[in-house]
Amino acid sequence: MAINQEIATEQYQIAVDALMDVAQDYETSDEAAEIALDAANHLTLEYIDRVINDINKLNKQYTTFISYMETIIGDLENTFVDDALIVPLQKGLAKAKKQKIPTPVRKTK
Amino acid sequence: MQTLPSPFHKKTRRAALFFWLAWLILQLTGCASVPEREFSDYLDLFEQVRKSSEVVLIDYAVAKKEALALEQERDSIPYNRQSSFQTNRLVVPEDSIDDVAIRFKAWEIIDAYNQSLVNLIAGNPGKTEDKTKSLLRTIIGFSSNALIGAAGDILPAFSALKGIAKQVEMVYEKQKIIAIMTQVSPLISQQFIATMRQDSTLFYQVRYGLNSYHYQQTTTQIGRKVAEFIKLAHSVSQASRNKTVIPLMNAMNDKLVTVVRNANGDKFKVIALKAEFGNNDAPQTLAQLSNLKDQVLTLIEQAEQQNKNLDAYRQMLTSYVRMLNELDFQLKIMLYAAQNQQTVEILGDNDFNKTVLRMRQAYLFYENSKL
Repeated sequence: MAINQEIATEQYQIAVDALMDVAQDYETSDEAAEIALDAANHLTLEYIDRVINDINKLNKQYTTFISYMETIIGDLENTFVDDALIVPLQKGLAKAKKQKIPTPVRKTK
Repeated sequence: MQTLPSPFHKKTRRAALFFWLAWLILQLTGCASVPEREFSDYLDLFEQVRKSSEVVLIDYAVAKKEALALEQERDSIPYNRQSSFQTNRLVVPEDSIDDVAIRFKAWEIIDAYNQSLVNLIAGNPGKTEDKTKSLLRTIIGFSSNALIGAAGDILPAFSALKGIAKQVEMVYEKQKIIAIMTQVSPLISQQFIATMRQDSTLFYQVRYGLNSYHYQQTTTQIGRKVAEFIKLAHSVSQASRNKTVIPLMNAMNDKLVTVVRNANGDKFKVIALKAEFGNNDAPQTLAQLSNLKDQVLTLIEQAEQQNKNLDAYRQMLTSYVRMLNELDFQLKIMLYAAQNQQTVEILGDNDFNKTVLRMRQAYLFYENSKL
């Protein structure tokens, strides 16, 4: 968990625990308990909302990853034959061309 | 390459070309091979982790929907003289992306990448045929080359060349696969798996928040019902208290001290009645006290179930993150095996199967723990 998230969670927990101490206490009046519960619920929904926003922030990492992978897959599917097979062979043949190999004699009938 | 004696016989030329191509394979490509066992293990693991991730993602989608419903429910309650006006929840960003969909797509794209690698490793006969023709065209294209005569000679020996061409293709493809694995595997680890781990921390927080929301209602109700019980208990006579109220109170106390109220692990206090008595011993009063005790015990069961549900979710996520770690590890093993051309014996199948089993059990436990 990132430091900011940890701090946010800790702060949320301290505030909610204090409110719930009031809401759960047997000696608290019904009205006070209701107010404390409402405030704790409100903080909890805000907390969830903030976490969902943090999840949304990670979307960019996925989109970057996806576009990179799309390029890789495109490369795997489209540019393979010429680069991998033909070009080195052409180089090899060009090298062989420079070597001294007798020209074959064409037989005439 | 050796200089061949003249006259250049057909068989000799054919053999020369054959060996030259073989030499070319060795010189240009070396002996690289894809670690098929490690790759196969990786694919198996990938499928299992993907399935588990889908469960976790769908659960998050449900949690998000629940949170939204709760917010809407609260928004519908009329507020008295609100001092602030929040607009952040009302604004939908233009580049808004569905966070669940994008994560499913990320899994799909890795699956597509895996499939591309599988196709390349297995080879594609159609493509091989095309490549063989290309190879022939290339050789024939060297019109002034000393091998031009030999190129004509190899046409009858097409099958032999086809085999060589396939070898060339496969070795090159394997080399390229290893190069791509070297490039992509760390990326999958650092950008995908690491982000999925971050996700799981946040998903837990969302579930924790939602669970807390409901837990707050339950535990507040416990407090209110106990308060009601205490108030009513003080209205009965000492005789009724001793005979009826104390057993009810003890039954509640036994359970109350086991209920965790907050993240610090604090429990509910035991009920302690003051030495205050009344004379309200009506049967309805005693029945109401008994009814309150039942309600408190039911609420305590509900709170326990909510705790179990959160714990089950945590266990499920723990298994899930372990699976992510294993996928990450398997990627590293596969890459190591590919780069070093050796089999790696680290993780047995049983360990992996146990992890998968734990995840399934945790998921079932989590599903059963839902209220």
